[in-house]
Amino acid sequence: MSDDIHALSGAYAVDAVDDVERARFERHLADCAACQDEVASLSEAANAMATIIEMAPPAGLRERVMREIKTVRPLAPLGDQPHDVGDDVATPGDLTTTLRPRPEDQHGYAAGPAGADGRSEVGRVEQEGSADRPDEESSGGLRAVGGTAERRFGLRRGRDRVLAGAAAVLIAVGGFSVWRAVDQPTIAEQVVAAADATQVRTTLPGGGSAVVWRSASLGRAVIQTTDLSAPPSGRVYQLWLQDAAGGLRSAGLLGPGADQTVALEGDARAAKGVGISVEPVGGSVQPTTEPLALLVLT
Amino acid sequence: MTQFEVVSSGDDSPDEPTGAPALAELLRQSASGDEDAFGRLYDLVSPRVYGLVRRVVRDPAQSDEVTQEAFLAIWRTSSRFDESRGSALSWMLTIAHRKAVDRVRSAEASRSRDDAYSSREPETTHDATAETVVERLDAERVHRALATLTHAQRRALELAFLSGYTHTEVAALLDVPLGTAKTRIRDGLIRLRDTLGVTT
Repeated sequence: MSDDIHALSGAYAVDAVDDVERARFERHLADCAACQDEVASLSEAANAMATIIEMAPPAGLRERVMREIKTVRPLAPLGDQPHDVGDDVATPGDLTTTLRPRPEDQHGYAAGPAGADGRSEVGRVEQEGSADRPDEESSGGLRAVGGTAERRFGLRRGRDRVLAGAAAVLIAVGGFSVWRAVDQPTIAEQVVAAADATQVRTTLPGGGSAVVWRSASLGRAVIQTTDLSAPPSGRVYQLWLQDAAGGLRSAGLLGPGADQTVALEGDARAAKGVGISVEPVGGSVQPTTEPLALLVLT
Repeated sequence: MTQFEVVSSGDDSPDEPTGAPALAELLRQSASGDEDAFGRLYDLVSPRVYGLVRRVVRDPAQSDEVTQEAFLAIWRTSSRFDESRGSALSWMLTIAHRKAVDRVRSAEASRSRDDAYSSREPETTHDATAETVVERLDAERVHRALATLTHAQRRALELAFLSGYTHTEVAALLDVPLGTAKTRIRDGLIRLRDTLGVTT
């Protein structure tokens, strides 16, 4: 079995793996310097093969690219960035917001930084955006909610699919660096792909629907909205996790957009349900309105 | 850590150096927000980036979008490039390739498996469409290296890397066991690497 995982290095180096295999191999990669080196060299070889293929891009592309980069700021180098204010209250494996490609989504990007997960130290993984709007709008803001910093995040989608953000990052794990463009398996991806993931759906008032996945083994839940109608002005949708006793605890805010996929904050391992309520901008400590949806988790 | 980069070819011209150091420097400048540097970078590598994306994605309109996304990602993550770990061009192509593969797989999710296979099935490594292909001077070296692979390895690599199939799909397409597909891909890459002289 351990032989099997090393043998994936070639396929991995050319992206010939599915999401689950990718996640599994990247976990292995974090602990295997030999595979890291091999992937690096095989990747270089594969890209050498690519260099013989050239095609002049269409004329307008350059202008579109140059226009788009004006709205997006390059990431600062790793190690120079201040810690998030919310780091000390963030839960482990926090806040990644990209998700697996879906046929109906095209452009999308994560708003807000991802935190370190339990397995590896990740230096500031950030995901690039489609930059329909300035970068500032897309960055996750920190909102104080009753003394607790809640991170606001969401994923905007365009026409067809969501980008699984290919942030090329240096992941420093136990002294080794994995240099290639590694896609950190997002919480959402992991939850949805988890063997023990359960799924519940609901329609939403005002049209639209939501799906919630929960993985007990990962202890997290993910919600995906479709055609969610915009909240009233000055209001925001807030997510809640319901415990066995029926109490609700804030699990974060939904960002703007009709179609979002968001990993709920907090431990969803034993949660009985997931709720959505309309709250004042910034959220509330407890729901101030009747939840517009309460999904019972199986 | 060891470092790998393909030994640079002799196609640098004085006016437009495309060697590894020039691209790495432009990436570095881009990382500090230098849009002119990024424009020069685009001019130097966009045919290869677009060529690869187009080869994988096929559809011109989607290739256009994916290439744009790739360059945006290159711009945005330019500070993440570490030249001690590989060449700038390879770094950029890796980003582009991943996006291309994601796009082609998601676009297919709603189409039938057979349709998807036939639409992505390539004929040769060369892209023989009318709009192609600028033969680069260093292409000859790569062609020679590819010629040292077995036909089976070359085919597996084409399907995996250039057509964006998973190794599981490659095994199905070639009607071979899963392990065989994995091995061919890996062995093919190793052969390519060693023949091209990917150096430490």
